[in-house]
Amino acid sequence: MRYIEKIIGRDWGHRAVIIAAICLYLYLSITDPGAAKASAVECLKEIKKLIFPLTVAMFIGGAVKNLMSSKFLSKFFGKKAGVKGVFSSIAVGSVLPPCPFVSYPVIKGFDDGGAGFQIIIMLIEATSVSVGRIFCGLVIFEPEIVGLRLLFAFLSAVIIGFIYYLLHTRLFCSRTKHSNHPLSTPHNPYKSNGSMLEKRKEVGK
Amino acid sequence: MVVFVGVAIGSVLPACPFIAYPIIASLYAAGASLAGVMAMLFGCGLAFACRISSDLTFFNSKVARLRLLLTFTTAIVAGLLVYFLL
Repeated sequence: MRYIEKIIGRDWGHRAVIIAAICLYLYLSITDPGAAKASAVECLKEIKKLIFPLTVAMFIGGAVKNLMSSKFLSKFFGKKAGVKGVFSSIAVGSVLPPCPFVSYPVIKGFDDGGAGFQIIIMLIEATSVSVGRIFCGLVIFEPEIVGLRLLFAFLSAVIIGFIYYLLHTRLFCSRTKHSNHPLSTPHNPYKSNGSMLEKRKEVGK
Repeated sequence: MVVFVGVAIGSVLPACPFIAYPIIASLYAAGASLAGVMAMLFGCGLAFACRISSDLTFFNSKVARLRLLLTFTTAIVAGLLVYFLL
C-alpha cells in the first residue's frame, strides 16, 4: 500500500495531477497519436532542461533546515514570528526564482524546518514579485515599466501579506479562545466546582 | 475594469517571461493602457497549469487555493494601485 502511495501520491491533490496526465495522454494517443508523441518528446526535453536546476533547488531546500538554526528559523519564519515574519517571508519569497519547480523545493525546506503555515503561504505568494524577471523585462520593456512592476508588485505583496497575517492570527486566536481553550469549555471543573478558597472554607465549616 | 481584464489575460499567459512578455509588449505597442499592461505583467503566470500542478505536488490543495486567492488579490491590488496612482 505504501509503494502505491509513493507512486500515486498521498493526497487527492497529487492523485488528481497524475490521473489528469494519464487521461490526457491516453486521450491524445487515441485521437491524435502524432500530437501525443510530440508532446511526450517536448516533455522529455523540458525534463532534461529542468533536471539540473530542480536537483540544485532540492539540495538547497534540504540544506535550509540544517543551514539555519532552529532559533533563527523560529525568530524570522516561525509560528510566532509576527509582523517580522511577514517582511522576512516576502523578502525571501520575492528573490526566489518564479519557476515553481525551482522555488517550491526551497519553500518546502522552510516547511520541513518548522516555518509557520502563514509564512509558507506568504513565501509562495511573494514568488509572484519575481525579482529575477528584471533582466528579461529589461530586454523587452523600458526600465520605467520594469521598475514600476517591481515596486507595485512588492508593495501589494506586503499589503496582502499583512492583511492575510492579520486575518490568520485573528481567526486562529479566536478559535483558540473560544473552542480550544480548556477554561472556556462548559464543563470547566474549576468554574463549576468553585475556587480553591471556597473549597477550603467549605472544608473548614 | 481594465485592471481585471489585464490580470485575467496575464494569468492565462505562459509563466515563462520570454514567451509572455513579447505578447504583452505587442499589446502595449497596439495601444493598450499602462494600467492594463501592468495588470497583465502582474497577472502573468499566476494561474498557469504547471503552477497549480506543482502546488498540488509539493504542498496540498489548501495551499493551492490560498496561493491562487492571494496572488490574484495581490495582482489586482497592484493593478489598482497603478491605475489610481499613475
